[in-house]
Amino acid sequence: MPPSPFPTYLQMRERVPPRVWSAARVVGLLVAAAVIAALFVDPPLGLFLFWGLIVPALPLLFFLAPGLWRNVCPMATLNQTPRLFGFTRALTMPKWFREYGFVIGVALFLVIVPARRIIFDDNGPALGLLIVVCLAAAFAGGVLLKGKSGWCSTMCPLLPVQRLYGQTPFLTVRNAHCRPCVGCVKNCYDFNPAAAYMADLYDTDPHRSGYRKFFAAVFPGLIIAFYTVDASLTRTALAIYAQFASVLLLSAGLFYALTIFLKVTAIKITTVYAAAALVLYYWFSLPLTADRVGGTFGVSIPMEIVWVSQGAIAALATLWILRTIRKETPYVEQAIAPKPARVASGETLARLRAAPEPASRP
Amino acid sequence: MGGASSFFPYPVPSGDERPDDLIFMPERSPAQWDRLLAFVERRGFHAGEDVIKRGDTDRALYIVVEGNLEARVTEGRAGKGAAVPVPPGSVIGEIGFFDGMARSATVTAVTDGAMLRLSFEAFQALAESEPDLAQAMLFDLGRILAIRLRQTDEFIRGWIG
Repeated sequence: MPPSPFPTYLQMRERVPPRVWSAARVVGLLVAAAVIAALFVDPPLGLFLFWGLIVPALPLLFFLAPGLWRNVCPMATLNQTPRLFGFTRALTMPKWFREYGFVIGVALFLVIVPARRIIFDDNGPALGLLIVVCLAAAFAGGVLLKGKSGWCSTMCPLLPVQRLYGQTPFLTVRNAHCRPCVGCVKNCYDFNPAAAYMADLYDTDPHRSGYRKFFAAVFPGLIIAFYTVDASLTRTALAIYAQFASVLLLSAGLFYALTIFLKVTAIKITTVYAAAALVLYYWFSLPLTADRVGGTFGVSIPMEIVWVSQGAIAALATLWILRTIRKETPYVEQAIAPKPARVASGETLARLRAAPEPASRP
Repeated sequence: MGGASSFFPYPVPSGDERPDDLIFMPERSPAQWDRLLAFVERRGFHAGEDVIKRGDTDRALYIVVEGNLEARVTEGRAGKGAAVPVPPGSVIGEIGFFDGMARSATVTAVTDGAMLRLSFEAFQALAESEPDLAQAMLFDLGRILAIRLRQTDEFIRGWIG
C-alpha cells in the first residue's frame, strides 16, 4: 500500500526523542531571555541578534522545515507550558475567536512590520517590550484555551507566514507538542502539515479561504513596501502606514486580477505569490544582512556569496512551486473521494457481525 | 465525500467541525435488520486483498462487519492515489449497485476481516418479499448519494473560487 502524500503527525515516525525536544525548548527560552536582556541592557547587540541573525533565518526555516520552528518556538513553549504542568483551563474557543483568530494574527503582522521602520528596528527596549508582550500573550492563551488554540494555531502573528511558506515542507518534522491531540482547531497545521493550507483554501466557508487568500495577496507587497518605503524621521507614522497600504493594495489588486484572468485554481496563484514573497525578501535582505554581519565581525562578505545565495533561494522557490502545485490533484482526489456511509450504532454492527452463515439461512 | 475532514481525523471532535457521518438506515428496527440479513452472504477477506476492484462490474452492496479497509478512487501519480479509510460498519459499493456500471474505486483490506454482501439478485428477491424494507433501503441510499452530491457541489464552488 503506497504511503499517503498527506500523512498526519500520528502517522509520521518519531525521529527525535521527546526529551531532546524538551531540551531544545529550554534552550529556545534561554536564547529568547538573553535576546530580551540584551535589548534592554545593550540595545545595539540585541538589535543585531534579533534583526541581523534570528529574523533573517526564520522565513527560510518556515520554508524548509516549519515543524522544527513550531516545536521549539519560545512562544509555543510558553503557550504549551500550562498544559504540560496541568494548570490550563482548556476552554474551547468562543465562536468569534474561532472566526477571527487568524484575522487578528494577520492584522498584528500587518501592523508590526511597518512599525519596525517607525520604532522597532532601532529601539531596543521597545522591541524587547514587544517580544515580552507576545510571549505573555502566548502564555495567557495557553492558560485559557485548550491545545494550541490560544495562540500558535490562531492569533500568532507569525502563523500566516508559517502556513503560507510551510505548505510543502522540504523536511517534515513531526509535531512534538500535542500529546494527545485535543482537536482544538480546524485544519490544524501541526496535525497535517501537507494538507492544512489547501484545506483552508478549499474550505466551503468563503470567509475562511478568503482570509488566507488576502494574506497571500498582500504579502509580497508588504515586503516590497518594507524595503522601499521612505521612513525617515521627518515623516509621520500615519504617512508611513498609508504608503505601506498603497503598496499592499497594488499587490492585492494584481492578485485578484490574476485570479480573474488566469483561469487557474487559487492555490496556483497563492503558491506563486508565496514563492515571490520569499525570493523578494532575500533579494532585499541578504545584502543588508551580509553588510550587518560583516560590519559586526569586521570582515567583508563578498557579493558573490550573496548572489549565489539569492540564486539558490530562487531555485528552491521554483522547486517548491512545482512540488506544491503537484500535490493539488491528490488533495482534490482525496477531498472528493466519497466517505463511506455506515450503519448506526454499535448494537446494529454487533447484530450484523453475528449474522448466521449462508448455509444456515432459509 | 470525505472533504477536508478526511485529512484531519482528530482523535476527538474539533470544536468547529460539523458531524459529517452518513448513517445508513438509522430508523430501522432490529427485526428489520434481521429480515435484511436473511438475504446477505458473509464473505471473509485477508489483509492486502482487493475486495472490490476499480473497473469490475459486480453489482453488489457490502457492509463491513469486521476489519479495516481502504478505498482508492484513482491510482494517482506515482501510484499514490488518495486512500479513504473504510472502518467496520461502513457501507460500500452503492454507486455500482445503483447504476450497474464498472466499480469506481478499488477497496483493499488493511487487516483481516469480514463483510456482508447483498447481491443485486438478492436485493430483487428482498424487494419481492419485503417491499417496504427494500423501498426504505433505496430511499436511504438515495439520500446518502444526494448529500454527497451537495457536498461535492460545495467543494467545487470553493475550488473554483
